[in-house]
Amino acid sequence: MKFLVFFLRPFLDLSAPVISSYLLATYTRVRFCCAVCTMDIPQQISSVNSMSKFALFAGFYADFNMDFWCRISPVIRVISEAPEVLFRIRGGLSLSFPLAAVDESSCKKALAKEFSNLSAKLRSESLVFHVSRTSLYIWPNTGVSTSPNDLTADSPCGDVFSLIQTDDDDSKRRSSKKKEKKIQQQVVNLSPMFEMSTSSKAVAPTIKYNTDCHHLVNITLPMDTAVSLPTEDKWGSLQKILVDKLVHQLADMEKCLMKYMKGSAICVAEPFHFVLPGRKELVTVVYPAGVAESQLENCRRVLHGEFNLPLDRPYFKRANAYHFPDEPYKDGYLRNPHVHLNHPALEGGTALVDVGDKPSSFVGSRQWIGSIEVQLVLNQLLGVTSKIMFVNQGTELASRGRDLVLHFQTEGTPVMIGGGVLAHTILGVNWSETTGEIKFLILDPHYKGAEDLQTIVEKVSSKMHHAVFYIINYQLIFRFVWENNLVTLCCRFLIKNLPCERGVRIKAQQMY
Amino acid sequence: MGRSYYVEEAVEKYFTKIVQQEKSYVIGLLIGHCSPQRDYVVLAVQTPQKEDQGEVPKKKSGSSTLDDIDEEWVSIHANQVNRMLPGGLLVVGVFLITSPELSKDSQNALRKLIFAVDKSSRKNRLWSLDENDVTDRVAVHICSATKKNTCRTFEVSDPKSTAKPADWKYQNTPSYWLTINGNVHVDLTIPLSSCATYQDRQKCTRQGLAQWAKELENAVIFFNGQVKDKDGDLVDEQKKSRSVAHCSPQTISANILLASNPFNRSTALVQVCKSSLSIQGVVKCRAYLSNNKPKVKDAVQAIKRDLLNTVSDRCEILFEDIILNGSQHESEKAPCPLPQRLFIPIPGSNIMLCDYVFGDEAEEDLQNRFLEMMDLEVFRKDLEFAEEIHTRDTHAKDDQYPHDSYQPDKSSNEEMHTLKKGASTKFQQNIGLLMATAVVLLAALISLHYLNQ
Repeated sequence: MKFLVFFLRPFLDLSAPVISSYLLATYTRVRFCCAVCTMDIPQQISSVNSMSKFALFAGFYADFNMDFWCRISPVIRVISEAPEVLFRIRGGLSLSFPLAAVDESSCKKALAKEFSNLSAKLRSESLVFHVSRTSLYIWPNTGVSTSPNDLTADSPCGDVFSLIQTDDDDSKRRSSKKKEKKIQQQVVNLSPMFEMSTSSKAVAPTIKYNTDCHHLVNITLPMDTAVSLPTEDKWGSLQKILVDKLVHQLADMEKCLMKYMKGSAICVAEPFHFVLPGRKELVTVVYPAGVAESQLENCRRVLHGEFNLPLDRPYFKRANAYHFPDEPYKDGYLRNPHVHLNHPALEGGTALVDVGDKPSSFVGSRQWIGSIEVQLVLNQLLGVTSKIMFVNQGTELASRGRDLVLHFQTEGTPVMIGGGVLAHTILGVNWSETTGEIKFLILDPHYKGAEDLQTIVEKVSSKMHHAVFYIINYQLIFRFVWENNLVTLCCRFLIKNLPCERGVRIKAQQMY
Repeated sequence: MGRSYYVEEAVEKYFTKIVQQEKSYVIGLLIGHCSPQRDYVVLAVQTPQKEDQGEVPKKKSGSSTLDDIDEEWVSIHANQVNRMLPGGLLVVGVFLITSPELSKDSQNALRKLIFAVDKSSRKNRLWSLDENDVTDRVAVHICSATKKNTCRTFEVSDPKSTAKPADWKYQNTPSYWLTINGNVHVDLTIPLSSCATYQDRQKCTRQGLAQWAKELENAVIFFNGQVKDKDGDLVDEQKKSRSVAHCSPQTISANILLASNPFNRSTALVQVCKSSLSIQGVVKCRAYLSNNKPKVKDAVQAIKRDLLNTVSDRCEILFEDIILNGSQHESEKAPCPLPQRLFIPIPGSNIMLCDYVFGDEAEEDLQNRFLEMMDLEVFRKDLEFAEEIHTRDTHAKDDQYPHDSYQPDKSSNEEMHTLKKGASTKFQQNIGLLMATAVVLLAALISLHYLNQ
């Protein structure tokens, strides 16, 4: 399944249990997991030149330019020694200015002017921060707030949590949830606002024509700053830091906009936060929106130099950005199938009835289907052709090593493997050409337990007769010794020219 | 059960006065405040006579019928009146006073009027109704002979709605209203896709303001510096009892906070336009709410709508003036002042009506307008000038346009309201000139004096 792949995050110092627990992410009653998977994986992989890395899985140390690895979603828990609060300011600031001419220099001039106005506005008393899920509003430049008694300038900034309402009071009762909360870093979300009201005297407005203006530019700058501070730090000093961060980011955005604008075409700058090894603070980088990763290579190279980081890991790729624990994923990838995935059997069932493989009573039933049926469904619904390989015994699987490596090198899609009532998905193989020894990276869609390695080991090994697995270099590799079972391999071949829209549409149907 | 209208005593007196005029019929508007809990009528205003029409014949002359009623004219009157109403107040209905022989047609005529007035008020409105809005409008018919009144309501959102009976209760004691005040800084840039005619500019400005209205939808409003729950009470019980004891009308300050935009575009939006216009200033917003358990959301709605109305009404007034009289500004690049807002008290209530005046308008113009539109006499001492007149150019972004030769007016009449002085701006400038001449003369005389010594 696609989400499995995306759970891996090889470039961060994650412990093996974390990876493995996500590897065997739980899901029940998902019958066409491979069908979903084959649709999504090619989209990612088709852009990758070298599939060998994927097939062998030996190198988690992927190539710096490989996009694929960067789609792997973040699963991070920042654990710092002293309790810290992360203050995050997010919100769109709008820039609106008239342009007399569309040539680049006059455009830049107007933009610079507008940025300096906005910067001054951020330093003015009209700037207000609203602390999410509270009725607390602060005027950082004047020190005024709506709860002056609860939070004084001298109170520790961690006190702000006493004002934040938690969604579920149930969590207090459930000890397990409480534990989880402790691990997570506490995030205080703030949104910037501007006060329109003024204490100054009312002055009847004037209207003015600007006949030179032939274009009106509107930009919404997606501000997003993060500051981590010890909970003991004073609330009063925090406010200036927050404004400074915001102003600083505005300057970064200005640079970015200036650098990447072409004529009057201005792309919005987007901030990303990154976790770097050996650094507690998040590092924020501003990238131009809509510019491909490949075009930003130089930019990243400079950043690697600045932070003295090796060039073989994509620390600064956008997909590697830090994901805040309290924020929903916006990439649309499936992370917890229990939450989002609808039972897809209906569609598959209908398809099987359509091709005449099953009677109409099959639709809506809870019967499982095998590799052959998966092949039929894929062909019927998505026009994806598959190759079926038969193996008489599980042990014979080792003899298919070369075929599998070839498949992963050329196609790269997961392989469904079914034998008897068991079915798994092979995501990768590690095959030695000289010794013929083979290891498989397996996705087990039937595992329902908790994300605990010990349980996984017990359950999976008891279920898989003689399964042996190794954990090497944060990789979970299973070696199967299946006996007395006919093993069917269903390798799917991706269609190279699959129209993108279609893929997206199908994804939407199947996932949500 | 139908709606109940709590009517000020002044309205009853006004009706009595009109009945005494013995016209065969009189149409007018009812001004008040609607809330899901209660409806109030604070003022009744008769619609002025259309100039090209003869006087409505006196009673018993016979020939007049209600078919002559010009709904469009009444709608225009309602639109003019709407501009004079601060937030929270609106035209809640229409009244019709007829002689007994015309009474039988009155319901039909009132129905037509109610729908016509509502339709035209919707036309240029920047805000849309929400679920709290009362869409019932009241139609009152008074028979001039028997003085009997019939009160019915129509659901204006449903064109097929039928009249529902409603209560019309005169109040002996004047009602007290909560006043919500706030000065709001306005800084808008509106693209003009076409600026060939002033009508085009007017249209584009409307569109631009409608966009602004959308931005304001998410605005957060504080009352007396406090954020309050939308469904909560605006006034704490405790405080309220105190204020009732003192019997003083309460004033609440409102602060408007503009929320940050949601971001959904990855590129800048570049609109092509012929020119743009910017509106800048600090407008005075005011809204009135009934003292009967006002909700926070009512206050939010009232003050937001007042802000939108005060800006858009002024633009409309300016454009109407320019379209009728032509532009009085030689240079288009110079900022053109929008009319200034002022408030006028009404008898028997602490509510004030508002109006907009240009700097060169004389006091009589205002008095005449009020007499015509509101059937009210206005005295200079009662006027509350809520805003100062602009003397400095705050459109500071002009640095981008080096060709702009406009220089800020450095005259020192910032604090002066031309209207208050009852003189034109020109006259003031002359005074300045006179003074300067006087000073020069004086200086010359003094020096002469010293020289002689």
